[in-house]
Amino acid sequence: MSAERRRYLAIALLPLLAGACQSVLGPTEIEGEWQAYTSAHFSLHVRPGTFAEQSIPTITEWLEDQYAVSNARLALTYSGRVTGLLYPAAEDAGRTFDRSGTGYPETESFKAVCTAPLDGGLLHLLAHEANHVILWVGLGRAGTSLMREGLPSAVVSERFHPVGPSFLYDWTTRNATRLPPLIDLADDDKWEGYPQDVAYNTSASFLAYLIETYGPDPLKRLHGATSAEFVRRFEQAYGRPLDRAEAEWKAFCAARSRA
Amino acid sequence: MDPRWLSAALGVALIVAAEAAAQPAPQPAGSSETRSDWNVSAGYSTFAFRDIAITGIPMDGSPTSLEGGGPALGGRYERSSRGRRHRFDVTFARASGLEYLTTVDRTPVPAGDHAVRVEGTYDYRAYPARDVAISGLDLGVGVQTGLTWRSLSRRYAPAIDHSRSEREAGVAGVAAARFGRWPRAELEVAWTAGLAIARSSQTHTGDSGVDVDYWGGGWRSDLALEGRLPIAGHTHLGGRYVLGRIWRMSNHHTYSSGHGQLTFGVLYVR
Repeated sequence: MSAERRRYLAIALLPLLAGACQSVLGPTEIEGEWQAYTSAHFSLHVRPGTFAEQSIPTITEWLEDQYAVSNARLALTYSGRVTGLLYPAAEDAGRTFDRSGTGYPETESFKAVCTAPLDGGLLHLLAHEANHVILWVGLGRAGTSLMREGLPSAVVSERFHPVGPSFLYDWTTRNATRLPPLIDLADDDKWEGYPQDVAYNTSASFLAYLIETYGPDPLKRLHGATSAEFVRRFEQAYGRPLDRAEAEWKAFCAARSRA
Repeated sequence: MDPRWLSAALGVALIVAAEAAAQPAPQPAGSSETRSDWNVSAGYSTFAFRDIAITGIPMDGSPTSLEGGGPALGGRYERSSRGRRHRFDVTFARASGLEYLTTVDRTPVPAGDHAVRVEGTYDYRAYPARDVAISGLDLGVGVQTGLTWRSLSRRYAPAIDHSRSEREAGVAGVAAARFGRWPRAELEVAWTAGLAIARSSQTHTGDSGVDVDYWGGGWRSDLALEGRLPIAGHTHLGGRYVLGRIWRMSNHHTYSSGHGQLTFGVLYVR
């Protein structure tokens, strides 16, 4: 290749290089073959021939039930359709472990790694991710990690498996010595410092208790409160300080476990 | 990128390049020789939006993209010499007819959903390397600063309204390559990348009546291809294709948004 041609080639490559930077720095693309199965409120996308595709009737039944339960528990009116991508394995989804997922509420979508068996753990994962969408659309943006990650588990349906509030209350009693103070969980700067299962379950248990005891209205008033506002707005919404509500919640869980 | 857009942009590039190459050899242009342009343009702009769950490289984006398009209008004043350029740009773009796109389907969202972008920038660019490798090829660097207002209005079924607007200020660096016969026809490709800080307002008129303001920040980049050629006297025809992308992160809200914009306009050159 002559020197002149090499120069022209280098010039031609300049915009391609800039375009490549645009792609590398952007979000990942969804690749490969997918098949869509649509129900009243879900469009579930699966890889053909996988466990998720074989389980579509059961998963659809779970999610439609969850959709109705979430709307009912929080008195929401959402009636849109949620898109869910059910990956067969963690590496296909770009994740490090199976049974993980993510919600993308503004575009009414979620992803989850959907592996066998069809048990309560899988139901909880799918319900939690679908709830990210239902709750964001119904309530708007959550102000804290406590609310964003706790509420989707707090309203998980127990029609098919006991992985909702009854599990959370029992877990709270069994892990009484590990529970972080709620004032710390409401602080986003401290949230990441706790083990994920402890932070998620503690938050979810407390929020499930609040919904069961006081109904959805005070929770809606608290939902958008930021970490800096949380304690003050909690007292305004529930008419009691957070530490008092925390003690009442623990007593409630202990009584439920004994029963 | 829509292939029709790419074809149109490449067509403009080829016409301008051919025109530029056909010009007589450049006369030595003194640094004091300047040119002033006024430009109005119109065209079409696309809009794309994905929410982001996990930041980092690569970002974990939603499997669903919200996309649409609509008119774009622009105005510009530019003062330049061969070695440097000052440019003031104003752009308005509105996208409607939004749809959800996944790998297997395309679903319209309510007809009233729309996105609006109003942008004003100042761009300073210097071309320290001229006639690089071949005659007429100049390499430039620059800095761009500007203000942008964006809004996205959505209605979720059955009647939950959500809208968000952002006021953004940013600063960015620019790398550019220009080919042509200054001050006549020229073709330029430029990559702009920088940081922005934004103040967002969100209203949610569904069940909770939440009304929230919050700060955020992020990164933005534009890849722009533009050209011009003289058509009569002081009048030039200009074309511009911009592929822009922003990434915004704020408390419990992270997203990526992009736009493609093809505009053509008339320049008055003095």
